[in-house]
Amino acid sequence: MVTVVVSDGVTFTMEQDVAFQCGLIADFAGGGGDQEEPIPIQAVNSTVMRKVIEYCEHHRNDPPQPEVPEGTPLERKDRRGRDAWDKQFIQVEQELLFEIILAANYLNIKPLLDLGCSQVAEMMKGKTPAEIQQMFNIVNGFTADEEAQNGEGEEKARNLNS
Amino acid sequence: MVLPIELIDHIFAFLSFKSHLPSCSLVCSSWTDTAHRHLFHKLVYTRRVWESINYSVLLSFLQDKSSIATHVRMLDLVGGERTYQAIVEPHVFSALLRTLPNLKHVLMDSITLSYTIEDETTGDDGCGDRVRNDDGDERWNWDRDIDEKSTKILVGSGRCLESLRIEIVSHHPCREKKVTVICAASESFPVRNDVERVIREELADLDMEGCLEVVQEYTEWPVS
Repeated sequence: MVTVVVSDGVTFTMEQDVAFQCGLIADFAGGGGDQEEPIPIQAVNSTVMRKVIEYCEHHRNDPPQPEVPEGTPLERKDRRGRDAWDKQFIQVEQELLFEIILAANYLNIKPLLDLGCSQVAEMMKGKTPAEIQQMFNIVNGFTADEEAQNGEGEEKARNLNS
Repeated sequence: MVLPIELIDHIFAFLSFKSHLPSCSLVCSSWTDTAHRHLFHKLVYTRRVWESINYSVLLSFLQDKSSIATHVRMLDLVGGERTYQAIVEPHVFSALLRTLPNLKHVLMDSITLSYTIEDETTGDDGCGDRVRNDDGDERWNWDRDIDEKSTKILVGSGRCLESLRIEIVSHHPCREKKVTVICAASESFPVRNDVERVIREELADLDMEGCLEVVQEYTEWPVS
């Protein structure tokens, strides 16, 4: 069994195959036997950790993902591999969704990171730049100079094919 | 809640080039570069049907937008059927290579690699003949050596290429650079020597001595 303690002091105990889906915990535990001391995970709170554990328990029997070597050409990802459970699981408020992504990134759970990011991508589709700014709470995205350059760049790009 | 830019980059991998990434590039300055990394990873420049294509326009765009040029890893120049309307002059081509510092893969499909040296003595375009420039150097004119009666793209004396694929594998800028030129040709009209010479001449100042390999793939043309 592996025990972790999260930012708001809540302790979670889980079986090793569940816990070791988190690369960070696997590294921390060093692949050894039961941990006596709880592993501190300060970057994640208990609400998010519950979701993470729920995900890891559901996927505990999944085969490990192949490693992608450094320098691999930029790949386009798709949403294959998202089953009905995943889709249901990731239907959460945007705030929690972002927290799950940050936690998956911190804990090094690549399939969960991909699931979260694909869900955000889904939410961005069809939105204008202004709507995306609103979604991500971005204000004053560009300086006046950059705005002018954007317009000029677009014009040139259009001329390329005209 | 703010997501760091590396996670925004990860999200972009799930968005389509045409439909969604252009909007993302206009959200804020920190997103622009990241979106461009995805948008311009592969640049495909295709000639529209029945229109000629001007690669100098592409070149000047990339020279003007060096921040975009650095993102290009793959360049496809696609000419289409009537090859003589998609002519790449070697000096433009080598300038493209210089402008794209991180370019790894070049595909030139149905492109004519062309010299446009005008023959001033006759006033014609010097079709397919050797011409002399002012320095007295003899060069092949690759231009317009097309057999109009056939559908073959690679015709004449092999001076027009059906396809020319150049792959640059670079582990470090200016070092361990390898250029592989694969040119389709007919056994009857081998083009290897001319292609190799033209490419070597144009890339001479890129210091690729010993790194250039020309491979000839024989392609039999369809009988017309």
